[in-house]
Amino acid sequence: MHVSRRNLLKGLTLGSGAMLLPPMAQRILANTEGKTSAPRFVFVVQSNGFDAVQACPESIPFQKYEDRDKFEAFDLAEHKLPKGLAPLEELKSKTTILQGLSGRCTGGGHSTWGGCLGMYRISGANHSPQNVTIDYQLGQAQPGILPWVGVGMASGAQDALMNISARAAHKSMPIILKPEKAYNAFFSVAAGGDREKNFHLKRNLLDYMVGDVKKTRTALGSLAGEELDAYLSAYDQLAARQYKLLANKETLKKAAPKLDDRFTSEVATQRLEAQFELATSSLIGGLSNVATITSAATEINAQPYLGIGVDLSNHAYGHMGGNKRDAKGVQHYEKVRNWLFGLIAKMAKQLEETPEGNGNMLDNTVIVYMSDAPDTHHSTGFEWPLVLVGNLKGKMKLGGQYVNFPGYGKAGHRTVGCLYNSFLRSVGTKQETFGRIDPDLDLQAMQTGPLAELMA
Amino acid sequence: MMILRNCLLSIAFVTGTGAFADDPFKKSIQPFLKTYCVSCHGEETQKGKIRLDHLSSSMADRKEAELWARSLEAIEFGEMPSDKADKFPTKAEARLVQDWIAQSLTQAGLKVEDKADKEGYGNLIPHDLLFSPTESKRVVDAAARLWRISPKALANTVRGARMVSNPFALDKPHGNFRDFKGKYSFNSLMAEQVTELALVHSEKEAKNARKTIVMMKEKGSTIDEANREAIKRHCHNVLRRTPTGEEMDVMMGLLKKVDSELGVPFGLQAVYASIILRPETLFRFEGTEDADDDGLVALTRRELANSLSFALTDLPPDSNMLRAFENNESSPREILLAETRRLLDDEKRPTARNRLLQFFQEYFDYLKAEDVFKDQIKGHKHWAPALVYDLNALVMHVLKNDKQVLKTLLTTPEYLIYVNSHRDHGNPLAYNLPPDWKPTPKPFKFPEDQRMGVLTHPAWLVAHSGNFDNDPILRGHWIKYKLLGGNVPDIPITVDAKLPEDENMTLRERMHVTRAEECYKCHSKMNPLGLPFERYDHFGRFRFLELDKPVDVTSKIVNSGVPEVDGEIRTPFELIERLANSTHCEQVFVRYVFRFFMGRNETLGDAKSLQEAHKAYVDNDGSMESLVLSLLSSDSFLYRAKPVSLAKVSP
Repeated sequence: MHVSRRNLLKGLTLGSGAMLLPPMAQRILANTEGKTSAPRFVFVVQSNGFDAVQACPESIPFQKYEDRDKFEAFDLAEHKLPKGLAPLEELKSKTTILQGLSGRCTGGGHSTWGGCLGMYRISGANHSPQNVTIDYQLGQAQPGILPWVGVGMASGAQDALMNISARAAHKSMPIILKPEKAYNAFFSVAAGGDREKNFHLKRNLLDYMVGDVKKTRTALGSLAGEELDAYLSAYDQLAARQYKLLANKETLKKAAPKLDDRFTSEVATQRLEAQFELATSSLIGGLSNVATITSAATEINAQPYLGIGVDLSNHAYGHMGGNKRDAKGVQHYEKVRNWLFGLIAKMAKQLEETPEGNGNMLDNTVIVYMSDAPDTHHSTGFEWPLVLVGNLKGKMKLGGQYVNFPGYGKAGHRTVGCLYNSFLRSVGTKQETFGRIDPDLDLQAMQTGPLAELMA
Repeated sequence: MMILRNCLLSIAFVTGTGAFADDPFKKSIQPFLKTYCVSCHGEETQKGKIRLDHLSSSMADRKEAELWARSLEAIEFGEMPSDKADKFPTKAEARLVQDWIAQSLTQAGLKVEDKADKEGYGNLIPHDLLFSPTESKRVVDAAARLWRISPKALANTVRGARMVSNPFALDKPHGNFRDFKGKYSFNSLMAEQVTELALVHSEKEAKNARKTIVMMKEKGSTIDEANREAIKRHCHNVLRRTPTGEEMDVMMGLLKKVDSELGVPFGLQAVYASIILRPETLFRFEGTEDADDDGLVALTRRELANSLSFALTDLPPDSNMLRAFENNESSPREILLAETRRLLDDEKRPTARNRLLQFFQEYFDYLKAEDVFKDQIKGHKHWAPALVYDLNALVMHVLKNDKQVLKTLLTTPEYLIYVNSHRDHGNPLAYNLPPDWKPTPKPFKFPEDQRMGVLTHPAWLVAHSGNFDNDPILRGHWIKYKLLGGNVPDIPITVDAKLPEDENMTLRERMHVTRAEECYKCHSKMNPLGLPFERYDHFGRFRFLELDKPVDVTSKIVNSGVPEVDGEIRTPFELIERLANSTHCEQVFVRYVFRFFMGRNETLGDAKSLQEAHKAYVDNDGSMESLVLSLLSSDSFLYRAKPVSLAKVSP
């Protein structure tokens, strides 16, 4: 579905003065007049590792990270993208492949859980977040109607995935795994019929619950403790969200994706297609400036890609190709990644087709593809290949490059935390370091500040 | 450098410095350092680049303070002295030094993180103190708390509502227990999921109630009266009590508001959902009464009924229990004993007995055998659920006899295999039995040099193995924590915790990497305990050869903290017997039973309850039922410490 921001605004301004527009619409209006809007970010997190070899175009000689001594940038226009990334071929000028950034502070393993977005190591006892994650922090810096939207796919029937994104230490934000539930959560306010009625029933109930829990909290005094505070804060958040959505009903009505069978499909890959559409609508409609989309994140002993004909478990082909770099499993990695990059490319094109300011939305949006396991199936974090699609014009210079950073510990080496520092700069947050520090790397030279090579 | 940086994480610097007397430093601390530390961390040798001989008693120097903090952690976790040392301090000596360091750091304005009440750190409370007669005079010092109801209890509350994924779902234990104090904080996702469940459940209930409301109206009741009656009934079903007048008025307010906005019966649906979502429904409350003269808060009879019912089942107290606790002629302790017995002896509904099984599943941590993915290999068929089924059957069998439960579970050569039919899954192969082995409902006795109890059961072995190999470290870790009551520090972040891959080396040979000095100070606490189980492969099969070489199952246990376990080990059975015959290990087991049923770590204030529970177990020939009866009627179950201060209440 293609929503033009101009059309959207036409609809919005009919019969109402600009003063009455919701803040988001005013911001969009400003954007059409040539002003810059808040940078947008999409984090696509897939499980099972992303081997550096598989991120390297065939025509560029692959170097192991131990052998990479200097910073190098190659023009992608002169090279064909690797098989897994083929759907980005048309968007090559907007694509940046980053090699050599490390994330040892996450510990690696089958999955770092929220470590990939938070740059911390999760504990052995549980997967609870240790700090705010980059996606949520970026969202909070310049929020849309909501600071952040998290949707994804799991092979099973669970409703949500926790401990990937977090608003603070031990405060995980849910990635909604069912497209229909995500639709109800974000768009039912404008859906009409029973969905809309249920939205209002829930709003009334949540209001009541906030009052009821507060009363219990007061009655219990010191006995209530953290548990009841958490309960109250959860209802407070939900109730507040309902009102934010209600206040932006008209905007959401126009932005809402069209519901179809994929939103309730039993085929996991179809559900993820629906989630990509929902996330795209959320960005274009201004629901949020940051979205996190997970594809079977953290799942190892599962077969999430049956829908596209990969009938092996992640574990099975991980051991055939993600670990020892033999050819047997690589084809499965490529097939899965090819499909996922197809969805990323579709999203990027929709953003590209939506005008904004003097350009289009992709000029001011970065889609970051990464795995929650840094490099291979049994990952170590010595390197963390990343694919970026889009740009943040005026703030960063991205697109059309294959970039090699010097290997772990070598002069000029940088961490994924530095990339996150760069993103934070672009939303006006000057933070020197991000996440946990790697004690084996020089703090000042390798872990502090943004990636100068990528800044505008 | 790494160690110093790590220690920064465990202490938070506040402000100011303080002075303290030099006497204890000269009298006890310096001699301790000289005797146990300086030979490796002194003028001549500085292992790990650490030198302790010139440390002063002042914490003003930040680097010195960091080193003291690091030393505190090393002693606390038993990391130091390493097992290569000649001399080891007694527990009392070590504790004196720990207390001095912690106190000095605090006095200097440095905050020392106390992990003892956190999940997985219960063993930090000194074992010898918990079981010392002098400590049994202490009173309960654990504060009251809210405790979320279990996933099954939630499912029972919203019975009939379609529940795809339970918002209260508990993680697999992974070394600890599933349901534990502070383990699961309530978040917006849970709130949303529970709200939706409540709405789905109440939609159906509200429609049903409409029929009664219409009937009442036909018989002359007003609509308000009929609605009030419907609300009252729902309160009885869910809260098991009548709502107060004030509560009723507030709920009627909600009903009318929603009805006027969205129409009938949305109002009743909202009220019904709100009853399910009350903190009272979703949390277990306790300690709402005032403190007595001793500063203790006794749980009310209603709270005790709730606590007991949720300790042993996933249901709120039934009518029998509520009635029993209303009988003022019996003391709460008597009622607790009688009701615990009633639930444990209920053969028709063995929910409480299943709770005992659940304890052993989580204590031995064998359910996770099902999560360990293994490739199928020629000549064997691995099917973990069948192994788990067999071990469940063994535990239930031992519980039925209820004699020397822990010892029997650790040492029995009799297994229940194939109790129902897992024929298709080739289960006998995991026990080295022929594929056409005929199942028998009777226990099967293995030769004593082949299998001995849970720790050589394929389900436990698989649960403590990797995808391709045994995991002696995990097995040693289990014994270290669950039987020896010890501790191992967390893995430092820079450790790349992987063994080299080499098809020509045995696992023991590949584990040589853990003998590097910086690794072995922790691995020495686990590897020697796990290596004897190399007698089995990672599918749980007994073996003599690995890579065509005889398997080395010998080991040497040094400074385990339990003298009767230390020494040379020739077979896994020798190790198991030492553990099973140790009173210390039996007491550690009692500590874990305590944690499971109380949902929190023990404190020194629980010494009396623990000692009584252990005595009940010993006096009754190792009866699990006696142990649980004692714990569920102990002071630790009946009382809470007085709250320290009033929390801030938001308006």
